[in-house]
Amino acid sequence: MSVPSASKKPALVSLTERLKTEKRFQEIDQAIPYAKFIGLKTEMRPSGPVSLLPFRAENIGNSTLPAIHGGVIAAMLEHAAAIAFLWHHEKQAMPKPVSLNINYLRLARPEDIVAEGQVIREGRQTAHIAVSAWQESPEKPIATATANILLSMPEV
Amino acid sequence: MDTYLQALQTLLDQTVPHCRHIGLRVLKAQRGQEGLGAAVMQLKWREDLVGDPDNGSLHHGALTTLADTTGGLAIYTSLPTGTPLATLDLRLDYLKPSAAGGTLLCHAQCLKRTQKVFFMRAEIYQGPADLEDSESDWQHSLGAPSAAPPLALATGSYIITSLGFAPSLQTAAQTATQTAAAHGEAP
Repeated sequence: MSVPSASKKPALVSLTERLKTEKRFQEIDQAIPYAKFIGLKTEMRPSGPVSLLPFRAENIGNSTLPAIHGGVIAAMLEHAAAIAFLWHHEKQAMPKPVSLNINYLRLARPEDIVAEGQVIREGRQTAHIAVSAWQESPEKPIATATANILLSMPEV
Repeated sequence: MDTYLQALQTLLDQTVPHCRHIGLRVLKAQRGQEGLGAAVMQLKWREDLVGDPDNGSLHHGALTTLADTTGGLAIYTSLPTGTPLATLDLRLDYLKPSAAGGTLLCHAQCLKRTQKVFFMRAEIYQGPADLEDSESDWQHSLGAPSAAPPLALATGSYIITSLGFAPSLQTAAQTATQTAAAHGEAP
């Protein structure tokens, strides 16, 4: 995971580029400590990458129900938004989320969660991404979110 | 730390595993006037919570967990024990990345309550780098945080649900008192 010293690009940008080129994009999570901390994984599907959050007892936010913590779900939604953006964006710029809007729709049971983002609009300066997370089926989302991302173009 | 805060911390540690996992600590909590509660929580920087390895800033997910929990706690302080509370929606604005190292502080305030729905606003600040557990180091008062601009803003609404039941604060307080007594400390 070493980065050429001549490169002025942030290490994460260089890594993203390399992983996409080498078709090992799902390894991006390993470069983000917090993604490893909650157990986030990226899986490649024919339509593109989806984010997976395998169930872990440490991610529970209410042990009485029980339910997964809303903050963990928010983290997953934002991660899935960034992954969707990185996958679709040709110039490989690293996204900087400016804001995130989350709606909690159903109880997140102590099971795996899947999330997929969709780039709704990409302008010159910002991108707008919608994300949905589900457990049982995509038709029954447990949470949805929209993220506004500021594009930071690496200097050429 | 007084008995009430200790009880809240015990409650969180026992019933919200993720809070213990991430290292959230209750610094202040008060019921407030007309049931509009407020709370302050802290999150210490840890390497495994980093979101951007290039600058060592914490992942937004850790910030969101901090804001969601502090907001929920602010509201919970004014609810009868055992009331089930769920986040309905949450919005975060990320103003600047957190510093590598140090401590984050989140101030949350309940702004309005109806029978079922509660509205809160929270702000996350970069705390002093050397903030330790001793309360003397902690000079910020509720509702009047530091002059430095926040790192993140959060607004959210919470709802009393019909699902299950929330942990009992009274029980947690009793447990905390018993624990303290067992260790020979004054409650």
